[in-house]
Amino acid sequence: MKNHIELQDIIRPVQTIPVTANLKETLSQMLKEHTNSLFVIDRDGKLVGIVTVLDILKEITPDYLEDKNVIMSSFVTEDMFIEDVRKCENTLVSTFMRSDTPIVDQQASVVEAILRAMSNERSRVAVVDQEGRPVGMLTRTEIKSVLGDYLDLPTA
Amino acid sequence: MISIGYVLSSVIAILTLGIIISEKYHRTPVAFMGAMVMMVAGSVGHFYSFDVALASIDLKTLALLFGSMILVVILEETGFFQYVGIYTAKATRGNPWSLLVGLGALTGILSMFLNNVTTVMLIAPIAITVARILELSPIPYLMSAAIMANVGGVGTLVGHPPNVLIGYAAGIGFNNFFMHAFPVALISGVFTLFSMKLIYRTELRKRPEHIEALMLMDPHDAIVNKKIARTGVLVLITVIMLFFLQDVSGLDAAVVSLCGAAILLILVDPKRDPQHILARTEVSLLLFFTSLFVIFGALRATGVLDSVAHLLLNHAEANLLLTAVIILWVSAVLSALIDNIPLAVAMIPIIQNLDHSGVPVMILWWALIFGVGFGGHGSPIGSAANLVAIAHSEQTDTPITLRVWLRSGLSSMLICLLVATLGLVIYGVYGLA
Repeated sequence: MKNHIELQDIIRPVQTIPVTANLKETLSQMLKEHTNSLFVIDRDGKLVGIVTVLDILKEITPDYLEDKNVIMSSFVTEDMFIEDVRKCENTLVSTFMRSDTPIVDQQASVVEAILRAMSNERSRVAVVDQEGRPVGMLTRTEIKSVLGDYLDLPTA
Repeated sequence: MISIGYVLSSVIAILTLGIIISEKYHRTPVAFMGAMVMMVAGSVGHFYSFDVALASIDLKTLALLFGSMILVVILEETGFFQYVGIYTAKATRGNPWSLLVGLGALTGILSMFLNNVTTVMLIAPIAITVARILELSPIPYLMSAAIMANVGGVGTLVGHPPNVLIGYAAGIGFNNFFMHAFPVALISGVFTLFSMKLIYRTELRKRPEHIEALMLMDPHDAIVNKKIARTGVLVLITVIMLFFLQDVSGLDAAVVSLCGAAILLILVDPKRDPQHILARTEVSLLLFFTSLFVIFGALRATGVLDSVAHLLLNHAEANLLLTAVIILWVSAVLSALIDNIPLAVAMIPIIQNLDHSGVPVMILWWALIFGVGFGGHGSPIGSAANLVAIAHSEQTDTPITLRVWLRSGLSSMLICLLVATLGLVIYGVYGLA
């Protein structure tokens, strides 16, 4: 049975950042490319990790304000937070990128890609070629379009 | 007589404890494995049966700890402790010395009823946030919290897991424990705070900035769930009152603790599976305790502990007070360097043995309690609560280094031990033990 939608038709183009970049450069690239996530690649163009805005935020936030301590967030001033942001601007992306994002081969089906994207809480999956180089990413935006297509909804 | 069981159990115990002390691996899986090896060896070698092993597990201790854990898990999510912390910080109006005393005293008091690690985990973020607002170094306040958590924990039966272990083994009830330990903890705490005034005189002299921002903090913003916070606090207060009324009610502290947990679970969310709450209790710690009970149960069954006790017997009979003081200082030093729970579990049967030989051991129990307790803040690795404070400090501009720790941690430990020594002397000389 022919697949209704091909993975390669819907994935978003590769948007990358070198593993040697720092937090400020990573954020700058995200802003330039209008994206919340970037592939982190090594010198050979191979995928070594993925970095998202959430990862940047986690890196900036000190432990004593994270998780259960989020109760303290009502007491953190903007100046304190700006200080924390600026402190981290030179941190290398390799420190806070995630290496556990699901990966699928570019020959995989859309369904496999979507289900794998769901499998960890990040709702995204990297699509790579046989050499491990990223060819695209499937995120919530693309998944939304696919689901909309299955329900015959207009997708702008 | 030295049997196979005597040798085997000693070897297994020494190996297990050695690996735990080296801290190369986490203590729970190591202790668990050690306990299982002991049980298998004991069964095959006919020196330690499964029934005897089970009987070695002190269920009362586990029960008390488990009940307290559930109480704390539910309460810490409500924001109540943070409410009290912010309230206290505001009451100091940003005065550095008052802040040190306020947060230190609060941590000490909380730590009398909650375990030390939880107390520091709750207070450290407040100490850091308030210090940042006031543009002060957070070090004095973090150190105060970590050290006073330890000091306060010595004061009651439920303040510190080794206290529960030792208290039950020695037959010391909540009130008896309180009357002997609290004065020592209180005096030690006061002297500790004043010593920190001296040690941190430079930091405490700095003028705080943005006091108005501190005064604008509303402690009510910390409360996540008002209803559960109110219920939780009421149950906690009732539990504490019942601890004190143990002699009147006849209810063991473990029963009170478990009742409090049961009541809170019913009141908080009776329709839902409490697995999510139970998952956050420290089952790993309970497994660690259980494993140690099994290991030392074998040493008791094979007579190894009898031998060790025998070595001490003559010395103890000759000069009880001196033996007590030696136990105090040696267990403190050991507690500063290694995990204090195996230390307590090891010493208990030895002192019990001395008891059976007719030695009046009460003063030795107090020595052990104070030594194991106060040793905890002698070094950064002396207590898990210390590590929490240090980890939090590393996210600030002024991380707590070894040198920083020793400056106030070690000096406070010495102060506490001197106070405890004096306490032991008074108890010994006046027969108050």
